[in-house]
Amino acid sequence: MVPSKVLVVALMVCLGISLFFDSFLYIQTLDLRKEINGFTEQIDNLTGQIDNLTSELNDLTLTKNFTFELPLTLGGFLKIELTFRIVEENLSMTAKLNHTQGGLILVFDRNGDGKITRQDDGWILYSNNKYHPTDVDPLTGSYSIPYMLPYLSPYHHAEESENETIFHISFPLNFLNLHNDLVYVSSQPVLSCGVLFHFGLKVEN
Amino acid sequence: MMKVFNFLVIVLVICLGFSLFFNGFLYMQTLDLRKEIGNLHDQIDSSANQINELKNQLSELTQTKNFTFELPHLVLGYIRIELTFTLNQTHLLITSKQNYSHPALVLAFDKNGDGKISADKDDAWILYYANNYHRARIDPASGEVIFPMCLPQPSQYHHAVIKENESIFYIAFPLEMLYNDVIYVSESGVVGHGVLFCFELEYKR
Repeated sequence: MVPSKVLVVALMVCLGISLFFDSFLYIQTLDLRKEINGFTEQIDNLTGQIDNLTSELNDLTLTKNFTFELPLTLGGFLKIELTFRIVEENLSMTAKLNHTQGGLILVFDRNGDGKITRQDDGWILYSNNKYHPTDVDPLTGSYSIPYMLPYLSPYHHAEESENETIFHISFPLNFLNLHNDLVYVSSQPVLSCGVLFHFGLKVEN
Repeated sequence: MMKVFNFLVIVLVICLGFSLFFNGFLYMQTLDLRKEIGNLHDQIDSSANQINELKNQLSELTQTKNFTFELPHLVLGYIRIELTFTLNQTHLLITSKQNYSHPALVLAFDKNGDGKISADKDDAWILYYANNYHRARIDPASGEVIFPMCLPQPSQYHHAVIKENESIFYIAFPLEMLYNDVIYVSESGVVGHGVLFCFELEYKR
């Protein structure tokens, strides 16, 4: 028979040790929670960085910029800065010209034969927000203008300042029905032909 | 006295029971928290890797520019030139892929840095598939090339890979030779002028 005093002492020692471990484990859980909060903040920060980088990358992959210089009939060169972007099922374009005369000629390969020919409908976009339908021969740069007044354009609006014109253009992709990214760009005062190139965005249906 | 001890023993046993229960509870909690920390570590590693990949992709996109042009050719109809511009510390690297064999690539830079390419001030290179070249004069408005009266020199700037239906030029020009990103590109046999554009890579001289 263990004397009660010894039992009490033994129980008190055990309780002491157990309480010590309780407090040790409690402090450890507090530290771990603090550590978790730190990591969570770090992850939030990293997620923010990933979002920023992804949006930068999207901007770069979904936007294509080109700057061309085309010889003018009256001498000198026309500088055209083009930006292509897909925005909500629209092909959105900005064309900045260091010139204020003549319309912007734009032809896509609408019939999808891999070439720009007289069979592809194009546009001459004017700075007064009107347009003429046209077709071009990209070999010579010759283009047609129909004998009619230009239409009011639902596809673009232009800002004209003293030395430059900026065209903001948006074509619904459904309307363009493109099979490739081939485009011909020129302007009315350009000598001979414009430039035929691939704008490098996926526009196929 | 005995009753008091018995009561004390019972109280101590109950306290010890609670304490041990909390020990177990806290111990399980620390295990869960450590597991959570492990997961967060993995998540942080994965996010860091993703950030590195995105940064690499961004760096590739900002240091590499691609252009695809179609130019009318005397014999071949339209030829396609796919150009890739990349900068490293010392050179501008250009890869030019043509959809026909045995081309002669015409390149001109704005060497005097006046923002234009002119026949009398900027000299051009005509790079041949036989890994030699001519220095020439070009008029970017008409596309006219004036050849020198000498044999082509072996090229330290490029080498060409010729295949049945395509050819690839690998070109490296030292950055000292460049003043800005204006470039004129054409091919021998192209009808009219080639294309004058800015390749839009920023470099420090």
